[in-house]
Amino acid sequence: MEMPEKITAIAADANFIFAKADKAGDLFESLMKAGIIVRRFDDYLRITAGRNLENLEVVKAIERFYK
Amino acid sequence: MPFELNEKLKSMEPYEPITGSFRIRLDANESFVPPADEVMEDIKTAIENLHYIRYPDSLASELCALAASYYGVKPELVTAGNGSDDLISVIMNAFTQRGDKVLTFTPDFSMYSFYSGLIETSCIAMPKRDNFTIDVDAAIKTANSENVRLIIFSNPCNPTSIGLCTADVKKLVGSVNALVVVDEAYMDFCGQSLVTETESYDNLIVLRTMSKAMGMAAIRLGFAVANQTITNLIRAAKSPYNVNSVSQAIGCAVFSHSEYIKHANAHKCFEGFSVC
Repeated sequence: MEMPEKITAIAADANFIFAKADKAGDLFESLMKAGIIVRRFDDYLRITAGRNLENLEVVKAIERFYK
Repeated sequence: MPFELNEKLKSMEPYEPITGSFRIRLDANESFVPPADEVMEDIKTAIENLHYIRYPDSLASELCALAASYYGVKPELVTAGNGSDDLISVIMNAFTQRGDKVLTFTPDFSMYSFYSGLIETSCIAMPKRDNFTIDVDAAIKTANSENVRLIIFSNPCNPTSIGLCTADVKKLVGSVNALVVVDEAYMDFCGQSLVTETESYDNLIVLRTMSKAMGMAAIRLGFAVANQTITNLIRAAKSPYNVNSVSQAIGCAVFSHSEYIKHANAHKCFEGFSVC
């Protein structure tokens, strides 16, 4: 998955990524408004791997947020 | 005299998972792969044929035997729980007592320190390095100098998704006097398991679950694998009927399709990262 530079996944040894995100709180809210729920840990978001189309939609929503 | 809460309960609040209706739920690390049709057929048959008037098999013998076969271990070394969470509670309650020291790492799964608080053990939450890896040498030093009774961590870690390689985990287990509980809930994605090596240690418990890679979070089935002495104690400490018959039957039906599960597990969700 290609992610904008303002969000960086640190590893993926499981079925989720832990990503440091600029304005993590605002991004979390923005994703929720788009109907996408993830977990927030302060400056990080934990995002479970979903179906391909779900993952694509998450990436698009993140790109929209940082645009 | 009015009823008064004890100290440990005063700041306690119920765990509140995120609720609400979302089109895309990527908050609980569940699988996105539902059971295959042939697995679902066997699940239906299994629950139709249950003896609903009877209590469950307290040792979940058939389920543990199938789990043991799947993980490549002896059946007598496997204990089933109502999710790994049940087993974490049982193990921490049984193997530590008030005043003992427990070593956890931060960040990690929050329930470890939660149970430590409930049991009134002293929880040493060791910060991970800036890159979120565990400093194994520092952990060994702390565990031994503080006379820690139990060390518990997730591998790969929830929430960081970082796996610790088997060599590092073995070094930790082999260098401390504490009981080491390795929560391998996500190990199906990582391939650094110690599940087949518990008999080589007198202080290792490995936890596995059907809730993640196997896509069966709904039925709450977890397993503790440990040497015979530790397993006997876990079985003695758990509640007699901790895994209901419906979950046992469904778990057996799923494990009877071990090739399918292995294939589903083989699907790694992200590429480009590796452990160690």
